[in-house]
Amino acid sequence: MELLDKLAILSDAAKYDVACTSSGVNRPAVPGKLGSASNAGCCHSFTPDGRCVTLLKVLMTNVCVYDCAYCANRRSNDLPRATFRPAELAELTIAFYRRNYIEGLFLSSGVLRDPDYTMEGLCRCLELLRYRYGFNGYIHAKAIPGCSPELLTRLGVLADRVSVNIELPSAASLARLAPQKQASGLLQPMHYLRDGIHENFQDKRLSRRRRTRFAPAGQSTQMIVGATPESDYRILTLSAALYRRLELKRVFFSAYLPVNPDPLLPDPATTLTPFRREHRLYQADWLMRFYGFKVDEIIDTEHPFLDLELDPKSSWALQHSGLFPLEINRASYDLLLRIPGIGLRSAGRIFRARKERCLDFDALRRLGVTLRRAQYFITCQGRMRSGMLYDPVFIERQLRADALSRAQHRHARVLPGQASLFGSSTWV
Amino acid sequence: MGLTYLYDGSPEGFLSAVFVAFAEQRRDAELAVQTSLQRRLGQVYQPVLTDPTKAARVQRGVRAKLGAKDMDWLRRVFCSDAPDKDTTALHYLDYAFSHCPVGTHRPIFATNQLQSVIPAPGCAQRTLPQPGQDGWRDPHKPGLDIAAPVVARYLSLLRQVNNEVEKARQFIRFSELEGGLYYARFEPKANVVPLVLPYFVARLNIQAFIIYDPRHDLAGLYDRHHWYLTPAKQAIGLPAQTLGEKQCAKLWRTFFKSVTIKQRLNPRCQANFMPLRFWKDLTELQPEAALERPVISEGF
Repeated sequence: MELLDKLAILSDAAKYDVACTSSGVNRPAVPGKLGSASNAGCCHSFTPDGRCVTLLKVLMTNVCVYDCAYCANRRSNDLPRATFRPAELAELTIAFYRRNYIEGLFLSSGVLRDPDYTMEGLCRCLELLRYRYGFNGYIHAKAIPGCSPELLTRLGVLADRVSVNIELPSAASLARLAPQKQASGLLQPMHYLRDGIHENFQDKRLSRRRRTRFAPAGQSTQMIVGATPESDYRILTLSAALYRRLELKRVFFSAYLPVNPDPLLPDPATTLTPFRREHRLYQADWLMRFYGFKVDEIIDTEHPFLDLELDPKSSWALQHSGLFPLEINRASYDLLLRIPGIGLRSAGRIFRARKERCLDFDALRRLGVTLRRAQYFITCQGRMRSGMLYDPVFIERQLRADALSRAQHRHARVLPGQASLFGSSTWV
Repeated sequence: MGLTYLYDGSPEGFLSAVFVAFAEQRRDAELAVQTSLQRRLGQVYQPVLTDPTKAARVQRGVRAKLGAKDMDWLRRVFCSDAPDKDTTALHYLDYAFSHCPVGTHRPIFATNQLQSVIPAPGCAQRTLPQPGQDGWRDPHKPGLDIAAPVVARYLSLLRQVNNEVEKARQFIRFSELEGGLYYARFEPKANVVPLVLPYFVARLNIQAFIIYDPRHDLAGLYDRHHWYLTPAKQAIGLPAQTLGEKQCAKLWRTFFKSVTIKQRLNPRCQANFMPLRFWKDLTELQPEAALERPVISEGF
């Protein structure tokens, strides 16, 4: 089989993996080696679905011994199968990296023969990249649950980020849709990796740089949302527990897309893909990781699903309307972060600027703070923006109408005319 | 009457003009490039000769009084394409020099320290914020008022340039030419080639490359030992693309196509993150036909 066909098959097979980030590790360039990594990561391209391409995201093989109901590569599906040779994939990665197409490699795999055999293949490819080709860029590798601990250690040393897919939000769903996998079997390698990162970090004999050699960008996981009946409450408490106990860097959600007809799965004819739900879950996730929100502030058992029309921060603000409007010149930093429409950057700028002067709305504009949503919740020097009145009912109506009109606007608009200069979307 | 200093457009010329404006006590003046000047009625124009010693003195002064970070900011802002970048930079320097020199106590702004010493009559002495607490200010490092109009404009220019640098890191695409040279064409909205070149030189240090910016007539060259910046006014013949290059571009396009999830198309989101102005130089967005014809040698 030609490399081109293999790449087409194996990147198509990997496209449902969501964790395409290159962040979390700062590794300066080394003379004589190819590549570097920066903490913030770098997106090199964006596909027509709006998702970013930062890593060469492929499977080592799409042959799989498992038969998971939700997976496009399940054993019982009749589709073309292919396997990369380690050297082939390593060379491809280097060629792409030299042209600045990618930030590194995202390597996952179907399970060929057994977990150990598959992991062996992944490790061989990464070893070629790191040691023979002197590749110093970013590598995200999937660990295959059920493999031996030695292989996990090998993988952790080679990769920047390691991840194990938790697949579904509950053990019961996993048992139903992926009977060959067990929840405990998925968590075991995650525990092992966490301990590995700790142990390496606390080894005092090592230099500071070597101490972060084992999976320096930490581990992440992903789960499918919408294929099973779990509520958002359940999903968010699970991800909070994963952050707390397993010290994950990220939990990714992927909206369930019907790829196989299966009686165990929601009927594709009647269910819509929950893109909006995925988006709201990510917003909630952000609130938990960066804005100091607790899970039970965002969601509770009485309303176990997030509001699809309104973002979780606005929902929270409307439920706590007694707290607002906040005076921008006095509110503490933590409270600034709770104002809808004010993010980390805006809060930081306000915090810094108000030490030097008393802020008014003009000053906020100069600072680059967007007031579209924030204007309903703030005062400057005791006054709200002109024409604005603090009335939670009115605000909720405004915010919902605004969200709705933006959504319609989004669907109504097509790409601006310039695009036709380069041929009518031949890349789709 | 309004005064405008004219300089030759070079960084040294700009710094010389700043020097003269400070020396002549006309920090409120405007700066403009001689060649692209639109004269206004009632404005006085005064040309400034480029003088490397004056430029060096300004650089030393900024470094010593404001710090190395401010010098880096100045360098970046000067790479902006905004027509008011030089005037804004002069006014910012005026502001910064008169408000927050490093290493001096600045009584106007460090008010909380003063209050601690002299409590107002009848008031309990205020407890001061301690280091690390909300509201703590190091009296040796007075803050910059980022909401002041001059500073805000200056910082927004800085952000624009930094954003463009990030775009360059993301969207520069190299292609391999015969002889092992890599070539990229990139049209940024600010003169960012000098700013990204060190990044690419460090990262791709095992390959020689050229980054060519036709909009600013500038090329950054790296020969695996040193890097150079050169104005690219005349056409220079470049070698043809290698055979492998075509194959590689095709592989990349194939990858780009097959990682797209057709059920969630969102071209607006794509265009938001990847502005249309870059599309003509992006390998993955070239129609297949473009593969067949040689790409290089226009202009450069």
